[in-house]
Amino acid sequence: MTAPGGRTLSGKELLAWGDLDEQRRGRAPAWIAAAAIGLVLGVELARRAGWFEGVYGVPSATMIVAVLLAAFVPAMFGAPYRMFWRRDAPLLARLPIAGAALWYVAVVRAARAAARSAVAVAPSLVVVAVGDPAMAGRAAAIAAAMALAAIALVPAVCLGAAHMVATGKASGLASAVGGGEVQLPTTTWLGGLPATSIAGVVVAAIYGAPWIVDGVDQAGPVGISIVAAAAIIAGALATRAAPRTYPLAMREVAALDRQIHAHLEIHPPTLVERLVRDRLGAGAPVHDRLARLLRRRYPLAVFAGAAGGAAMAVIGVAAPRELVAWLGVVSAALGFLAGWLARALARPPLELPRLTATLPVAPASVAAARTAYVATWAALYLAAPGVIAVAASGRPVTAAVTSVAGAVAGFVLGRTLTATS
Amino acid sequence: MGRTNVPALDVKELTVHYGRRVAVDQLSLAAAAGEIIGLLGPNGAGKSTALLAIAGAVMPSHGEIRIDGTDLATDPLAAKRKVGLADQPPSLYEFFTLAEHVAMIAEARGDRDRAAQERLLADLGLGGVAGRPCRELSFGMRQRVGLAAALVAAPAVVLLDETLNGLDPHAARRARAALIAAAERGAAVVMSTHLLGVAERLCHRIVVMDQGKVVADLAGDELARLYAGGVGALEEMYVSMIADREAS
Repeated sequence: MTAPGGRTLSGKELLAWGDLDEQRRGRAPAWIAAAAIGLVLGVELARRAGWFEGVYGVPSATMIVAVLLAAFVPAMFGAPYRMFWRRDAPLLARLPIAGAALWYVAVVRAARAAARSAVAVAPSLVVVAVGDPAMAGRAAAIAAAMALAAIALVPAVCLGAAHMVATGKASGLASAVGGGEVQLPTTTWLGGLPATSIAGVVVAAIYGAPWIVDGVDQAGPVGISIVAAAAIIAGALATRAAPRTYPLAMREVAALDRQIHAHLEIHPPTLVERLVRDRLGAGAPVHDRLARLLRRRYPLAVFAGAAGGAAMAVIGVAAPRELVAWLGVVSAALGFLAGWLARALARPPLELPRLTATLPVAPASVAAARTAYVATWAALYLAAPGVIAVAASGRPVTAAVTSVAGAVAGFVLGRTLTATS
Repeated sequence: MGRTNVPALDVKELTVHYGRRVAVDQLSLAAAAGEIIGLLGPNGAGKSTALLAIAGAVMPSHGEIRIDGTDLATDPLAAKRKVGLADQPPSLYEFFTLAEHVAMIAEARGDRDRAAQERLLADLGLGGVAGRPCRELSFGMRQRVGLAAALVAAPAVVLLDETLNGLDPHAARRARAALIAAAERGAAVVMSTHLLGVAERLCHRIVVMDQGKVVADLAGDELARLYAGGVGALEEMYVSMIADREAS
């Protein structure tokens, strides 16, 4: 006997089912949030361009690039979560869904995220265009390259990383490089390769800042051309490979909990974790669990935190002309991540509320453990580099106030926007 | 039963590793169309992993799996269309209604016959709650939704991972009837269970796994002779065969 011979789910149908699921979950109004953030950024750029004094100048290139990064980097970091680390991944992995359909959904979701980023930068580009249309055109070119990266490059790298893991090439490469002694956890590849590609895009955007101003500097066009070309090539390669590789990659990544985590080396808690845990009393076991699960499930949170913290310290030491603004942007980004982290620690797969409620641990201890984890993360990746940056800035009060305000705003936004994701 | 020459399910030397640990060790199992196989074994014997691998949700380290003649490794999409798995706990779209969840699974298998889906839900006693979100369902109802998702679109192989646990007597009767109906239309059913009474009543064949391997495979006259030993004969055989490691 055979199953019905009708066609299986197309990419559009799969997307429609996914949209229905997200709609039922009551997702935060991401488009409205993007527009609101865009307006705030646009008003700030207008203020810096002198609009409030009746002067219709142009903001600095640094500020423009900062706005582009603030808008597009979250869209890029979301790629693996839209592709693999989804609630329905285990189910999708075992259904007969073609790789092309999965890739279609991944690209459409990436395009939507990039479109929301474009909405967020549009008011700022309008402000720039009023002062200097050519400059706005160059900024838009960088934005377009970043959008291409968000739509094609990063998802393609995610697919490639997952395929490397699925086929065992990742561990083979680690062994080859490390002389057979190195065994990197699978999640390192799944988080590290996309993060590296995103870092490349960020560097290209930063190098484009002088070109935005003068239109002469060659580093900018070269950088964004490389990003755009890489995105197109990677996207084309991934589109070609997806029918074969995506189902395999999806199965393996979805099976991480069962197959890979089942034999994860049980790390003893790190020194910092031990220090925090020892002060939590009844909440200590909860903190231990959260720390271990977060490392395994969301390694990107640690990568992104470390990258953001390093960026903040470098900004402080390098003291660019728009130092305070940069600190505000990076603080806001890290605050956003901390807000998301606070949510992630309170829901599956890290937290199982029903199970926790049956354990002899007071809710206050559970909450304290979560708070301690987020606070430690923020202390390591936000406060410590922030102190270095503020101290080196030469304008400690302004820098500190801006950083704290950015971090708080980002935290609130992160908690709000990820409330139901 | 609609038996054919090609086994509905043909598993050869299936091996699955979790890191260095062998979860399933050289498992070979063939199921004819219309056959209901009870997969018994202690916790951790490898039953769930074997079912997940057969369903294409876990990558085998070694071995061959054919679903209704289609090789899962070389043509995974075609093979997956012909297999339905009710896993444990059931993977449900919590915010879909029960009918939507089953419809989505059916469409993935290429079946858009909503009337047939409604009949299936009604057969399983879920017709009256088809419009409720999955997240509002009780344990037993979730088990039945998992069963419906495994049976929808009439797959050639139906895999159940302790799906008959936690059902009330009426629901259990409906579930058994649905499985018998699936077998009568030619599906091979492999159900892992610890409910030995259910296995005795329902299964044409009993396969016992321990430590990743098949340690017993009883069918036909052999099974009939065992059952002739009276109520509890299967349990006696199981207990004598599988050591109680927790006690040692």
